[in-house]
Amino acid sequence: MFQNYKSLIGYFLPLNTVIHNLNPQVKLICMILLMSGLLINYNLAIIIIYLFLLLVVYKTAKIPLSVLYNSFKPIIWIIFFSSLVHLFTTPGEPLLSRGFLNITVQGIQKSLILSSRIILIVGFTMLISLTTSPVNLVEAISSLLKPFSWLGLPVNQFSLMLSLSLRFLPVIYEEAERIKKAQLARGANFSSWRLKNRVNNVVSIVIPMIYSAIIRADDLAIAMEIRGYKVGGKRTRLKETRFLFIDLVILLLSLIIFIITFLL
Amino acid sequence: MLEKDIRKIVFLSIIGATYAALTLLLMPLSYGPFQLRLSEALTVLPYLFPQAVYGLFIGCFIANLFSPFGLLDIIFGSIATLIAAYLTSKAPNIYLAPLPPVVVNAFIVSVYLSNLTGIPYWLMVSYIGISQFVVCYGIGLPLLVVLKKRLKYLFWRF
Repeated sequence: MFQNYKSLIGYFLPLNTVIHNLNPQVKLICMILLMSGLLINYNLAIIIIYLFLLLVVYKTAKIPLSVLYNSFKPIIWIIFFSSLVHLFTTPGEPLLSRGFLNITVQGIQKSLILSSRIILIVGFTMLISLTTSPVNLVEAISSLLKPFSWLGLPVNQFSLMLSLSLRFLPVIYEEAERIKKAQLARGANFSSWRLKNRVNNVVSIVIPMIYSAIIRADDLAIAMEIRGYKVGGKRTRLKETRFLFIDLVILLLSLIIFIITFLL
Repeated sequence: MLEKDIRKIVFLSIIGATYAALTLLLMPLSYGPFQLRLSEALTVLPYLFPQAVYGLFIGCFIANLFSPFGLLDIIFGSIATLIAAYLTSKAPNIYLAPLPPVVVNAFIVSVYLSNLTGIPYWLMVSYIGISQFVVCYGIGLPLLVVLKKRLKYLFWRF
C-alpha cells in the first residue's frame, strides 16, 4: 500500500549536517538571492563560481550521488532539448554545416552555458527540498509572507490552509489509492490509453474523492471548533525556529555572492 | 477575500490536498516544460462552486513544492492557477469554463520556463497550450458535465 508513499515527502533526506540544521527561512532567502542572481546576469565566470559553490554545499550536506542522479532524472531531457535548440539556432561563424543545419562556435558556447545554468538552478532548488522537510518549508514560506498582511492580504488564513492541506496530503493520497483499487475491483481499466477510458478513470476517482473531502472537512471543522480554534487568533508553534550565528554567516555570504554576480 | 468560516477553510484546504495528491500520483508527467498534468482537470471546479479558487491555489502551491524548478514554479505557477481559477469561476457557460486554465497557463508558465531553458517562447506556449487543452477539454469538461448532474445536491451548503 505504501509503495508510492515515499514520494510524498518529496526529495527530503533526513540527515544531521550543518546545512540541514540551518534556519529554513535563511535557507529560503539565500536560495532566492542566488537564483535571482543567476536569472539576472550570467556568463562563464559566474557559472564557474556557482558550480564550485554548489559542489561545496552538496559535499557539506553529505548527499549521496545516487540521490542526486534520481533528482536530476526528470530534467535530463529538458537540458538535452534546450541545448540542441541553441546548438543549431545561434548565428555566428559556422564550424560545421550540413544543408540548413549550422553548428557555430557561439552556439556551442551558448548551449553549454545555458544548460549549466539550468543544472545550477535546479541544483539549488533541489538542495532546499533535499535538506528541508516540506512542513518546515511551508512554515518558512508563511512566516516570510507575514509582511503582506499589512496590505490586507489574508496571510494567516493562507498559512493555515497551507499547513492543513500539507498535513492531509498523505491521508488523501492513501484514500485516492484505495478508491483506485476499489474501482479496479469493479472492473475499471487504468492501463488503457483511450481517451474515453481515461475520462472515465479520472471521473471515477474524482467524484468519490470530492464526496469524502466534504465529509472529512465537516468532521475536521467540528473537531477544530470544539478545541476552541478561532480564525485570526494568535497562534504559537510546536517547534520554534531559532536564528543562530551560523545562519547570519551564511546569509552574509550569499549576499556577498549576489553582489559579486552584479559586478562581474 | 478568504472565508471566516472554519468549515469552508478546511474544505478548501482538502480540495487543495486532493489536487496535490492527484498531481503527485502521476509524478513524472506533472512537472517541467513537457508536462501533462491530469490534475489540471480539477481547475474546472470553480465553475460549480467559486470558493474552490483558493483551494486550487493552495493545491498548486503544495504540488509545486515537489517540482524540480522549485521557487519559480511555486510562485508563478500558483499565481497562474489562481488567475485561471478566478476567471473560470466567472465563466458565462460550461463550454468556456475550461478555457482560462488553458490560455493563462500557456502564456504565464511559458514566460519563465522559456527564460530558464532557452527554448523559444512560442514553441513553449504551443506545447503547454496543447497539453492543457487536451487535459482541460478532454477530461475537465466531461468531469464538469458529470459533476453538475450528480453532485449538485452536495454543494448546497458551500
